[in-house]
Amino acid sequence: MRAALGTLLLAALAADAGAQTNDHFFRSWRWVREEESARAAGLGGAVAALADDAGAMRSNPAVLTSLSRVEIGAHFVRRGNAETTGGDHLAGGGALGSFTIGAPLGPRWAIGAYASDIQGVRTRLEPRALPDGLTDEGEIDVHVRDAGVAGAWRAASGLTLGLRLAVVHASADGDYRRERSGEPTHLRVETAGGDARLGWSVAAAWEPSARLRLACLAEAGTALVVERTAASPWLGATLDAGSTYRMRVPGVVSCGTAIRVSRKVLGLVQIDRVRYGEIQSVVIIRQGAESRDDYRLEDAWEPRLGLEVSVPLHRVSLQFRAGAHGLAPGGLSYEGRDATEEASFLGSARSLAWSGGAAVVTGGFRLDAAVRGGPRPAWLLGATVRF
Amino acid sequence: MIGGRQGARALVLVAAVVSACSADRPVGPSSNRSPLVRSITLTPPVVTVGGTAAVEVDAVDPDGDAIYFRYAAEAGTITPDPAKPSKAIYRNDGSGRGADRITVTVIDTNSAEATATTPVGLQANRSPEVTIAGEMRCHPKCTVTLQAVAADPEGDPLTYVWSGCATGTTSSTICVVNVVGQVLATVLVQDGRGGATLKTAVVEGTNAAPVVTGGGLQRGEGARFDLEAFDPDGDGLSCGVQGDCLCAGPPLSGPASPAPGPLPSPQPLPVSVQCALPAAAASCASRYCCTDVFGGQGCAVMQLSR
Repeated sequence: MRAALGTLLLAALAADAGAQTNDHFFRSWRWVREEESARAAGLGGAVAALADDAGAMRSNPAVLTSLSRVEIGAHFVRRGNAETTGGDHLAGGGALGSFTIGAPLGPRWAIGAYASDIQGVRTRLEPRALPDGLTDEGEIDVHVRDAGVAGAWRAASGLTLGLRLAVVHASADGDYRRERSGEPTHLRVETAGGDARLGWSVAAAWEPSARLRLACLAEAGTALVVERTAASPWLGATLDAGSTYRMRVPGVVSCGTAIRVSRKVLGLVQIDRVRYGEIQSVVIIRQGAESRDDYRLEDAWEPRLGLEVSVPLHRVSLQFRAGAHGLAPGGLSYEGRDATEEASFLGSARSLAWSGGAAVVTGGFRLDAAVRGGPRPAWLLGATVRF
Repeated sequence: MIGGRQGARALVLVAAVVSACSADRPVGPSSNRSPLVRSITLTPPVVTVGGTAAVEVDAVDPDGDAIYFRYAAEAGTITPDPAKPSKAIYRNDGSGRGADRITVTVIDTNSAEATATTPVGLQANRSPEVTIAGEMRCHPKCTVTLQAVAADPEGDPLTYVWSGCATGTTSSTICVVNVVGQVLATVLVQDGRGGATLKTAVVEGTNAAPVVTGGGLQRGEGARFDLEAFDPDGDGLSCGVQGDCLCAGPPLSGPASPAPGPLPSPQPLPVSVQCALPAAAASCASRYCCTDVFGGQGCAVMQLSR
């Protein structure tokens, strides 16, 4: 059993080659794993060990076996606007955050299916004069979604293994221009297209007691192919008639704990190891005389905390939630000698995303709401039925 | 129901298959280097103001990327050769700077660039070179034809302005000489770009003195002297006798001074002068002199002795 788990973990950590370019429309791009359900968002995403919730199957399919009934949920997410360290504008928008369905198949098996909106952001590069005298301006719209199935198997008493298979789809649409006043555009880069790849994660959950659950999962990174073109009216040349690069969704390894402090209080602690280094290790140089080693982005620990308090009333129960997510720098920073690149790829500092939420729960229905603050603000609404 | 060992194997198998399916290969470079400009050649290395020169750039990209060229000059324009962008034609704008500088930027397909410059030596505008050709002497009143022979080192078109004894705005002119002595013909040649040359020619108005032959010494109380007088230029002459002998002869007048043009052939004029010794004189001497219209004078001496 240990050998099997080790093999799965190694496979999950295997990085694909090929990733985003150093085109400047990625100067403010960073990967953020956004919670797609209102309950998960309200708990700061610390849901690896959260039981009895089909909405958490994407985070940890192993907990599907904790479902006692068929559960169907749908969540809407409204992402807000924000500004990056470098002053670029991030625009969100509304989307179906997730749709989940999970069902127990007996005492040892459970299955589920889901579709989720992992990340969606339009980054607008605000005109910024750079040391080389040029100004970059443009925008890029990136959307990452996935849909898949999950299964969980109770291998032993208190120990559950889970597997999730998904089709991850990413689309990118954007362009940026490098210009100097009074001159034709020096460089115009466009990117467009979408790609779908297999994604997967394996998980395990162990429940040594009724009050404690430990869970770990490893989610493989994915690289999705997007097309790129580049032209220079200034040179009167087509620099890139059409090539491809890959949008990198980094892998992650998470371990979490759910502690039933009392009948009314549930505490959640989770630590993620996000493999941001996968992005840096395969950056493609498409802009300037640079080297991949000049760009920095390293694997990072990201802690998550969540607290849920239940207040039973006569026929319903109210739940109040709070969470926090310590975000590591997830964007490339440049540390070479090129002043223009240094002014473009500023990177980002660690930041804190806080969240809060509430739910109304009846025997067969739950209505959730959550709000998230920090670098990627959003609010979510969701409804879940059980039968 | 699936057993524990079977379930674990199934999970590993599925994970391995999925991992294999999602493997990717590298799709782009991990680094990019700037192009290298090895040399810029300018032919000729010194360019005349407003002139042109050929520019050729030797550049390579260490990564083998395609490269593109951008040219710039501070005091001129550069036109790349569409068929071979590493070559271009530099044309100076004629603004009169002492030097220029050509900047070449070589850019690869990943927008990495290298810049190199080369100085352009500029030859300032040179003035036309002028000489004046023609017959530089004549006998007034006369004219000579003068030709300004001019060439501009840059090949610029030239203009002419004559002054002095000549007028006109073409390379050829006529100088009018009305007096004996030197007159000046000056031409100003300009190339239209500040270059100017002033050249002066000296035209001499010549005059030959009249020639009087004959005379000499004769013995006796009186004698007749046979003389000849003529003017080499054919001018009119005024002649007379001066001295202490008692001479008489016809007043002499030659042909009128000719109009400007070729001198007429001189025609000697015979003159007879009868002279006598004054009383009580043992000898005497007189001169028969002719003067032309420009003051030229020629004389013959007549002497009598007892």
